[in-house]
Amino acid sequence: MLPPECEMALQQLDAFRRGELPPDDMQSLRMHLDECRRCFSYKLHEEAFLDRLVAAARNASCPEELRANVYRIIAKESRDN
Amino acid sequence: MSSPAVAVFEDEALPHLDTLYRVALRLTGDSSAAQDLVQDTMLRALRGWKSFRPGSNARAWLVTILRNQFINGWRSQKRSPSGIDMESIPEPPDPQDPDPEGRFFTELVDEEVLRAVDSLPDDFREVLVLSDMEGLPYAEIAASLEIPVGTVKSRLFRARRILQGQLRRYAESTGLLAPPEPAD
Repeated sequence: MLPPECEMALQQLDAFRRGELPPDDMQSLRMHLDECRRCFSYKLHEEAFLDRLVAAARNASCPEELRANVYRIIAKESRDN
Repeated sequence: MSSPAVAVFEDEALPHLDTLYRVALRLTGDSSAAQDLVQDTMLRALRGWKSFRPGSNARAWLVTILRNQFINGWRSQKRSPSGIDMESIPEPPDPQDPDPEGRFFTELVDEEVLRAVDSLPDDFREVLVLSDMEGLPYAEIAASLEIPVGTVKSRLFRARRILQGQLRRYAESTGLLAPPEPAD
């Protein structure tokens, strides 16, 4: 069972990362992260996890064949209508 | 459709093809099916272009169409349920665990990460893909999926924990990560 201040910190981390936390909460969380090894480690853990997800996703992009087919669809639709 | 309207559609919609393809790929789990889904989405978007309000978010609108196309025409053809227990949420790592900072994530290959993502149930996978892989804000995801922001957050929280647990177990099973010390 985590202490309440750690539960709160873990719940706020995502908004912290997105820059969507109110300034006072941002400051409180920063202070908690400076003092709490567990939450600081967890922040690094979340960042490593999210970086890995983004890297895995970005290795795929729209195939040229699909892009060409989409252009064909647009051309056909604009001719037909 | 007039030439100026086509030009506006191309300007608004085509920059999102990469996002649409990646989301479709994660929803269908197959490149060929993903391409078909994106083509269906673009055709539907083009035919419904008059209903798009200029200045509103084209990406959210396109994702909504793609997701509806997936639910209506694709989901039934999809793989069977994942069998993951979504009620059992792994705890966050303890400072005493090996690698509590998750350095092992960088050692995993893309295929394994994506396989684990693909094994999540649809409702959780789509939120995780839109948020953590494509970077959409909560509000945009909520609008696209037609669910409250609170539901987006709770699904995302559970999806992340479960995915992290899966990746950690995989890393332990392949020797990338030492298993945790048994509790005294």
